[in-house]
Amino acid sequence: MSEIEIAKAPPDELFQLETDTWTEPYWNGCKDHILKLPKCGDCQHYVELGASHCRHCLSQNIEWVEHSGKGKVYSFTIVRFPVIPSLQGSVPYVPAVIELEGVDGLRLISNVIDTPLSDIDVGSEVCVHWHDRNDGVSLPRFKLIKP
Amino acid sequence: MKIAKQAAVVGIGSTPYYRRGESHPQTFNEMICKAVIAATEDAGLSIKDIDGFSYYSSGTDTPLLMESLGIPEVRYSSMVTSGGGGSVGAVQNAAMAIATGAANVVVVPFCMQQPMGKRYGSIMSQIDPTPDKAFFMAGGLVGPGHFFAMLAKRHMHQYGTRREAFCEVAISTRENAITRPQARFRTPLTKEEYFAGPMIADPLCRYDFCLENDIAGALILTSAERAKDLKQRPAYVLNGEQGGRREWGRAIAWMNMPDEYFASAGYASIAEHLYGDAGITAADVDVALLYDHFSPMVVMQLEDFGFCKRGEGGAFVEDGNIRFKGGSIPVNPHGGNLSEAYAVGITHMMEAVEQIRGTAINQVKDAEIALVTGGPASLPISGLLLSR
Ligand SMILES: [Zn+2]
Repeated sequence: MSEIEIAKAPPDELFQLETDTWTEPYWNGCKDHILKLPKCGDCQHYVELGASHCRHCLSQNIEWVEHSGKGKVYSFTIVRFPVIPSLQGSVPYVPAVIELEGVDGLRLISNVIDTPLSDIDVGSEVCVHWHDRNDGVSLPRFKLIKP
Repeated sequence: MKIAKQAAVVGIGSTPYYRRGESHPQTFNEMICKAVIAATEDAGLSIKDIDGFSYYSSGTDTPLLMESLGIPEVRYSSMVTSGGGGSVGAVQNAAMAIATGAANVVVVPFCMQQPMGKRYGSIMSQIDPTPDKAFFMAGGLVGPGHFFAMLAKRHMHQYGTRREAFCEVAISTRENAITRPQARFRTPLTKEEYFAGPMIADPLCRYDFCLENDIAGALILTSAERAKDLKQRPAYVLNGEQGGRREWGRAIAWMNMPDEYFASAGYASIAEHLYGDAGITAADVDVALLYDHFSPMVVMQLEDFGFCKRGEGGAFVEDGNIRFKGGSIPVNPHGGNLSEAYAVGITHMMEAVEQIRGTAINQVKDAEIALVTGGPASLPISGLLLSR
């Protein structure tokens, strides 16, 4: 019998947060544990994170709308090998592309955590869980919604 | 591009193929100079004939090379933006410069040399943090393999592609490397070994990853007319294409590609222009040098370039179609990035030239048209057709 492997998470030290005009509202939302997504206030399309204009109508009237944080795993990988030493204690972890409910054209790259690896698949339903780092940065991560 | 056969690759040259980090204490520019000298000798040209430089993936400093090589005047110096995706776009640029008369003899040099103690495989962790990178760094995507694993996983989900297909890419590529003296891996790879290989980023195991090497290589191009009187049989630039669709865009760095693009190599539009302007189809291609940084991306490029239908790449590969011996479209007869060496596309370009000359070690019989691709990556990506 093999033991059940649980998805861990990458270490906090892996990256420092840099923001700019068009990404800061997203990260500020994260701090408040609210998933805020950029949407064009004129034509109502979702806008790519970091984009300065809506590509559909070239408007800069970008509004930050609250999302429930529910979605599905669009694709994922299980990282088992620590390519850099700082990952040593963090494998296995699961980077995943998350397709958010009702959102077209804007996926999140995140992690599925605290879940048996064998339960994770393309199409798995997930919801957001917040990870607060010591440096004041909060990250959205995802857990499986159990049926 | 509508300048078919107005320019040709007339010379190729390289340094020895070193294991990563083992080319020191030679310097980066020294390595490039050695490759450029070798390529001009191969062509039967003088180094002083060079009046153009065409780069990709960061390139290098033109006046530095002019100084070391005694090149009197430069009339063209340009670089394709982004990384390995634009690799063969540099050959297209060189051909365009020659066809328009901007320059007479253009060199496409490239050097990959890893600093001692650093690995390309974790390159994302070595770059300065920026607002756009935060979105993937937060997810722990630190090596290129982590990104491409997710494309492969989606392809498996969407089309039922099996790891057996990735295995066949690795095995057939290794088979080709065995006869190549400079190849890094020259022992056969079995299916058992492949499946016993450690999983790095599911579904990618050790054997799905390319090598890491220190290599400088160079191609010399000149006009078709001048090429006739030189030492080697010319490899004419039949067509080149660089760019790609917005839907593919930043590709792995944003993961927002629509369904029909996500599980692909992003090359469908490149293939359409490349073949269309040349007036050929996939059936006319005799040998394919496909950028194989990760084995699943070979499967997806085969679909994009029309060697099989979308979604059928796995079965196509498993049926033996990419084998050097007996395959319907031999892929990477030099052993590719997976088994021969990895230097961001330059080795594929040099092999394509040898295939067209008819001098390759694993020569595809009567090869008249060779396809070479840049890496599936952020735009621009690029494709090239060389012909007799
Ligand atoms: Zn709009």
